[in-house]
Amino acid sequence: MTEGNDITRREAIARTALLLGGTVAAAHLAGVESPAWAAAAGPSWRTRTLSSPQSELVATIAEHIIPATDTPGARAAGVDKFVDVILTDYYKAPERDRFLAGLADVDARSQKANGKTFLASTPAQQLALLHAMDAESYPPERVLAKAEPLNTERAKMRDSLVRQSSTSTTISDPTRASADAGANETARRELEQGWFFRRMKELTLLGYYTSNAGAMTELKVNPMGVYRADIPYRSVGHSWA
Amino acid sequence: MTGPQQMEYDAIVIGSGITGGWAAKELTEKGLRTLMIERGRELVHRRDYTMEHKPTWDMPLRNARLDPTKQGAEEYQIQSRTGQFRESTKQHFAKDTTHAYEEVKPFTWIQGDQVGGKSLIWGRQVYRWSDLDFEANLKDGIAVDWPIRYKDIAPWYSYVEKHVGVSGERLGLPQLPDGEFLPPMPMNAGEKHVKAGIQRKFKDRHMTIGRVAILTADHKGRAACHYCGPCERGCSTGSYFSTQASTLPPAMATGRLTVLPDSIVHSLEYDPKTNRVSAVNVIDTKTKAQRAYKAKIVFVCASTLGSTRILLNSKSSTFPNGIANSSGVLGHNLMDHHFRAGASGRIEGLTDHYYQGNRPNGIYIVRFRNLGDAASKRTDFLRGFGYQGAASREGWGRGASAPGMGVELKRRLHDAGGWLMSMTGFGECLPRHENVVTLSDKTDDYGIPILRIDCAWGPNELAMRKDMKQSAMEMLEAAGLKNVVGSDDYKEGGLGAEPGLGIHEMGTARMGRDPKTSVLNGWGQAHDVPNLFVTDGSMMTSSSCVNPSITYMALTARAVDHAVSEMKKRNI
Repeated sequence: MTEGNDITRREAIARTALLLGGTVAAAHLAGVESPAWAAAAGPSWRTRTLSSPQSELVATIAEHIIPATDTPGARAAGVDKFVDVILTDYYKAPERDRFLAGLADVDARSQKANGKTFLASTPAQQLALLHAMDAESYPPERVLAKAEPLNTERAKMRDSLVRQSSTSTTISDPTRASADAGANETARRELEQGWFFRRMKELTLLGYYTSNAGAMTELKVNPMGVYRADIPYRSVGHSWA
Repeated sequence: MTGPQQMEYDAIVIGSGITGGWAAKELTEKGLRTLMIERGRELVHRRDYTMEHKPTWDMPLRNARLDPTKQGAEEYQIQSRTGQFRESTKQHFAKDTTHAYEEVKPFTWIQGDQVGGKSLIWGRQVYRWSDLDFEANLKDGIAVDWPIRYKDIAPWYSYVEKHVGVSGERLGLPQLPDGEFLPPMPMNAGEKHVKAGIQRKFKDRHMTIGRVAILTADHKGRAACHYCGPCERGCSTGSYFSTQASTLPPAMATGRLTVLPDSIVHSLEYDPKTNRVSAVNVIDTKTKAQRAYKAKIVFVCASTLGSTRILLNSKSSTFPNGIANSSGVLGHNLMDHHFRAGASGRIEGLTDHYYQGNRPNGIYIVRFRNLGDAASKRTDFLRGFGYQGAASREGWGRGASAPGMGVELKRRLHDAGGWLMSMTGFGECLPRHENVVTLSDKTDDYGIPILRIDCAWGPNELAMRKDMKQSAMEMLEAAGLKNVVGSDDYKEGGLGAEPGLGIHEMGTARMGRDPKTSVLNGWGQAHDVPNLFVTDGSMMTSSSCVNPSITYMALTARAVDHAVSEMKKRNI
């Protein structure tokens, strides 16, 4: 984060504090720990769908996708806990079961490749397996454009994950093509294959970049206070969360 | 807000949304002791905006969209069809389990269930209608003529705009008259780029920033917008128009308003001897106790379909098919704006440009079809459409749609992505007799018949949608965008762009000059029953293509002025 942005943020905080009396705005902008987050991070928190090994598996894969660097990674951001909440309170049974089956398949593939569970494998072995899955999960653009299931899924995810504009307009996904009834079976199978890993990656990004760590330490929430429609990118220097 | 101490008032207003709030403000300011009846719960400004400014990480599902395929929408299977229905806004929508209706063809009825109604969650876009709209039915020979013209409503637009606080840019265009504007919000770099591209190629197409009921300067004791973004969670600074922020405070300040929440109107009582509404029959939604309130005049502002339901259910020997329905057109000619046909694309470059703050507004492209001259004339459809849209830079979400992981991915997502521009048309819908709401044989928890809605787009709307998509694509291509993709979410017999989803439903108790073919006169007053006024979307004779709420507000204020003047003359 640049110094310029620091000043911008301080201005924004000051202005908003004037308007709103400070506490809410300060919590929003300065990343004060929130009650829900404190509860999730506290010692009494328990998973409700994932077993301990499954939860550890999710945390490990998520950390490979978004590792700790000079800022926290997915594990520190509690992505495993977030995934447990989504599986318990958001997905209906078929989607939840499909995700859990995907986790089991990671171990099955690890056994086949390395003779060990994923968690018992070395970090290098884990990474090799995940890179292979990542490559399989994103077939060439030609296939993506033709296949309805993923595009529908992507459109939904975009709608669900990215709050675009606050106008009543729904911002649609420009990469979305109309459903092609003739999408061939091979393409469909390829997409079915990659479902778990794509979903795991989506949940990791969502869980990470909407967490306190992801949205306030790695990135910054687009602050309230003033609207500046056209400013040099370098004065911000990073994506808004 | 306290319960009523009495059963008789000068005026009763049914509904507390955009028009109910205006009716209450105007009536009380003109000295009438007024009762405002609301079926939903009390919702107090500031205190009850429970999700305002809540950080995403403080929401268990991180503000997920709740749709019927997920948990969390079990009681909201209809409301959750709109993208506005999310973890952070759920509390401002009615439960479909208690607000049921029959859907003959796909029709999405979005309902509020609180004091303030849908004024808390509306899109806030504000556009004046013009004589292009008010003369349209007459010129096309469709339905009936509007009994008013732009000159009748123009001063009332100014009157309500001055109170509301509308930001926007003056354009001097006849098809979209300018209003009383606060300074416009600015466009971002992507939008300016697209605007310039459109201007180069199409001299007759005007892109402007959305005209919006959001304050860009302090106004009447309400603070300028602080750009937190999601207005629909409620706004403690009152920076967007809602009943709570804008019309309720002055009405309450008169000391003449009583608000009665948790009270559903069953029907209006008609007295044939006086030819007046004699009472409003109300059921307490908590205790189911029944009461009848009396007043000299009644303003029905319960939303288009809510008001129509009340009128249809107010049966008497004089009006066996619903009060003030001697014409038989009550419930017919249901309209909405059809949208979700447009285009999006990728703006190359501009990577040294960004924005800060969350502007709760987008761009608007003014209608350019069928303006009355030869150049804009279309042979494939009548009327026209405008576009709403926005440009923004992609965020971290793009990481999920391409391969990559680890430090490389995290570093890549640290930077903002490329610019995207998207726009969707909002098209005018013709009034058609066969698009109708009637009372069902089924009743709700209070014994009131529910509505049966039978509505679909017609050939004119479907023909217009092709142009909405095509013209959007050609404008984005003219601006040099890449990967331009057109879209049309309409699916015949299915969901995606079905009527109702535009949340601009209107037309079921239309105004007209002839009591034989319309329910209301040009003042929103029932032809048949002089002390009955209906001033929400149900009064509209045609739909225009622009967002309707400011027109509802202006017509409501005008109707109250007329009603009170008639009372003084002892005509009511």
